[in-house]
Amino acid sequence: MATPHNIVFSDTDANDETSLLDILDHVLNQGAIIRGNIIISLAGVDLIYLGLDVILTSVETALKHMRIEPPAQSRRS
Amino acid sequence: MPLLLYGVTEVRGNVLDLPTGVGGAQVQRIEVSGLSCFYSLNSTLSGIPPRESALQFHGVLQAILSAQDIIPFRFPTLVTDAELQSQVQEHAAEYHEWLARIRGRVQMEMRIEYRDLEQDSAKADAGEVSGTKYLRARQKRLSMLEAAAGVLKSKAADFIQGWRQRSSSDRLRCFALVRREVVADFRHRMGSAEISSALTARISGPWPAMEFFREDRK
Repeated sequence: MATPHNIVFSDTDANDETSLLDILDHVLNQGAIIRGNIIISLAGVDLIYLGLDVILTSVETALKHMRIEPPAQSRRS
Repeated sequence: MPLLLYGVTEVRGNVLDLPTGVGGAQVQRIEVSGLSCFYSLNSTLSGIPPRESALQFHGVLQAILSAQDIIPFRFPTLVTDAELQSQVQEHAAEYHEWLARIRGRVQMEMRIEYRDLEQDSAKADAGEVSGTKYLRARQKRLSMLEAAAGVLKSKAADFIQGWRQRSSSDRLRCFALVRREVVADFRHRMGSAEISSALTARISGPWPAMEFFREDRK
């Protein structure tokens, strides 16, 4: 029934792609949210008081579209 | 200048050498309403690749977590100094409650999924499997995932002080709340668990105990 290789460990130091996915999931999708409005600068031009949600959405979207290959081989610790 | 927030901890925690933050900015600490707030001064994040900045952010969280219980902020949370003060003051009671609830404990995570799920989905998409048959198969798969979660949970039951699980798209994600000092033993126990060969369980952690800040609604 069981095989010795179907329990795998994913570290929290981004040593492999699986760990990287775990980390990105945690920092982008978990964590407390507070609302803030702030002046940010893009290409040297100050954009006036963008809502924080806009920043969050853009970064999350960018990361979702980053090419991250599935792990070729996970390893046991 | 914008402040990039990392997280908040109790002031009583261990003394921590403040690490370098995102983009090489020095992480700093300020005390607000009895909480230590960790932040760095980042004029902009646009010059740093998102993946790099997210990993650097994670590195700071792990450094703090190694010494103290932390409530991380979602990346990227950028605020002004005045917003930091006002927002943390506003949520201080809630943060104190969360930190008290998980004191001395961390979150271990188990993702259980099928090895051949993509093949099955491809067959279903190609119309090779009837709808009824597909739904029955899916129900069976979910039952197997639940059974595997039960195996993992029972394997380290004496270490587990809280347990949550969520299913999504034929996968099951389980979270265990354990004391810091048993993390190595917990991983060892998980490594010796026996689940169906059709499944893979991926164990990760320790993470900040985000899933356990709030009381279970069940």
